[in-house]
Amino acid sequence: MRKIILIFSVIFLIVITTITKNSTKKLENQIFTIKENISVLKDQYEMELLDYSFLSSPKKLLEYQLQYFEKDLIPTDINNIKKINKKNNKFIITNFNKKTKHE
Amino acid sequence: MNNDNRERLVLENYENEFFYKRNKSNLNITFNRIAFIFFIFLIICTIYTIKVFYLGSLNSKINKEISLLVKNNYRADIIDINGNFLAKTVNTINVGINPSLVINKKKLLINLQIIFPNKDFSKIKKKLNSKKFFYLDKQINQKNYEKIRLLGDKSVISEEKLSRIYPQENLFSHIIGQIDDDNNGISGIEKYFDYELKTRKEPLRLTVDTDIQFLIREELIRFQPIFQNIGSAAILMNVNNGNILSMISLPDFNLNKRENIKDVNYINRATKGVYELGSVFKTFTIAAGLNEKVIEPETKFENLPKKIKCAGRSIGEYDNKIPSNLTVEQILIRSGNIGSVRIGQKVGIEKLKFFLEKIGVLNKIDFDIEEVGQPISFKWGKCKLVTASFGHGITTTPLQLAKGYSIITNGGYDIKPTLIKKKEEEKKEKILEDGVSNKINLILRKIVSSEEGTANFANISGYEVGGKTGTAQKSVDGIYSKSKVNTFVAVFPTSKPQYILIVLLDEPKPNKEYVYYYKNGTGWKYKGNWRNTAGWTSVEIAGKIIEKIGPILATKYMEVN
Repeated sequence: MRKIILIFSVIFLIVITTITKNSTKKLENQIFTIKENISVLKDQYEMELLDYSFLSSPKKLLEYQLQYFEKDLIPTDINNIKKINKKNNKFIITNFNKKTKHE
Repeated sequence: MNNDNRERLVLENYENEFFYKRNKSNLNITFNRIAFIFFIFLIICTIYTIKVFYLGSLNSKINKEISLLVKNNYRADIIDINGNFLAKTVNTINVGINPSLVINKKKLLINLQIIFPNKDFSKIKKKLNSKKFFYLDKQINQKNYEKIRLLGDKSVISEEKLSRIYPQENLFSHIIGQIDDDNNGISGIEKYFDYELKTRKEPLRLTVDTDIQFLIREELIRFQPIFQNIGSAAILMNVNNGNILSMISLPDFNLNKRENIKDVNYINRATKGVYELGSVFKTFTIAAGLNEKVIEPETKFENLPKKIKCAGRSIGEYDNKIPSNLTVEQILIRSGNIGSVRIGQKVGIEKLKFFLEKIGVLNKIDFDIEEVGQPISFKWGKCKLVTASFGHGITTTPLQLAKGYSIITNGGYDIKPTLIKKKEEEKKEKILEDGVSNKINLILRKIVSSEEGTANFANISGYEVGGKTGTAQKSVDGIYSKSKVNTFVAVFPTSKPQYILIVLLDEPKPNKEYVYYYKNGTGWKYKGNWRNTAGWTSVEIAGKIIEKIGPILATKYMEVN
């Protein structure tokens, strides 16, 4: 009886070891594939971001403005900027710029 | 009998040994062997179990390993405050051929012709016949690289190279700097943070704002042909934490061209240029007097002479209409030289020197780039005190000027100008007495808003602009020339200062054709200016800059309560 138990234990351990080894191999492969996919996606994302940075740079935007619009861009007067606040379900519009004694 | 006994003893000994061996049964030997095998398998099983757990908890460690692997061919990106790329590393691949490793030349050439149909293969054929390694193509795209890899030819050798791209071209040339072919920084941020850029995982975030930098640079470039200056500089800084939103020095250069620039006119005027900045120093003299409590804004100086002499040199007012009786406030508003000298003398050599050192204008500044100028040292004496009181014979860099003005206007807190965005704000140390800033800010506002002031063209409605002008003769090799350095320091809003803007023009000339629009609400225009002072040059540019960047600063960087 003792012999049988020992033999079965050894066989059981062999099987478990094989399964564990296979599963780690699979895990390693999966991790490698995911890692590769992420790095490719990350590279793509960064290149898109670089394109975006270049195309949306102020220099490019002014070029587009000259190309597609007839009127020049004019700076906004700070006195014309308003602030909207919501209080008791009512919108209150106030001047963005508050006058002080230094004005 | 004795002999018999001895023989028996031997036999007993033998029997005992035999008896011991007999007790070791076959079953026991098998058990030990199996236990040993069991133990071995148990160890193997444990090792793999540990490995499973290790792999399962390894996400973050894997990324770290990747960064370590690519460290030699790696450089972190640099981004602005909004996350826009200022410098980006792109790994490119160069492909070369080692002719001595080619097995089948014909086959290789056919394959390469399919991958690179537009290449001249007659030259490549010749190179293949020699034994020297040669580059087939540099910076090839990913698709072609994959095709080349699939060829599996040992003679085709690929190498990864690092390319640095600067999408903003000239815009940040003096700040970012450049790298050499071996991935070593040679100037600017690239040099100062060389090790950090090679090792850190995240991009390096700067405090600069691309949009604001662009708008300020545009104005400086627009006015260059108007005032015909050989160069210019501008700094926009937050007075409360020293964060630099914009720093420009013209002329600048395109970082992508990787030129070796030797012309001294390309120096970074904002940090490296050391200038005598003239009357902008008067504010420091008065701030020192207020801090030492030897004067108040209302303190009156009577019978001020029009001229004084020091070491045989005559010192006079730039405008003879300046009255002889002036208060401290009026001295700064009208930029009186003699009045400033009297205040300087009241403060005294030691206290004025200590004050200027405390606000960081006399000694070399510790900054985030290496291109920093060293103010020219001098020996203090009675005459030096006289000239330094109104900003002559004393030098500093525009960056240090920005620091000094920030401290005297932000409530007296010490700040360190920086280009690097920090995660946490540093604790500020108060180095000036209470009330100094409020008094100074009120006077600076009057310099811009009152008719007697010298900086009316910067009085842009809605921003409470305050400031001080400085017109100085340029010193070349210790001799004063006719050329000038015109500077304007603007602080806004003066009721609660947030920003400081410095505009410096190197060797400007007056423009008689330029039309000035008065900012006093009358709608007056003026053409035909002949004065080459900061009030007619740098102030005009600063006004235009504030008009453009003001709405962005007010809305984008507003404090949310």
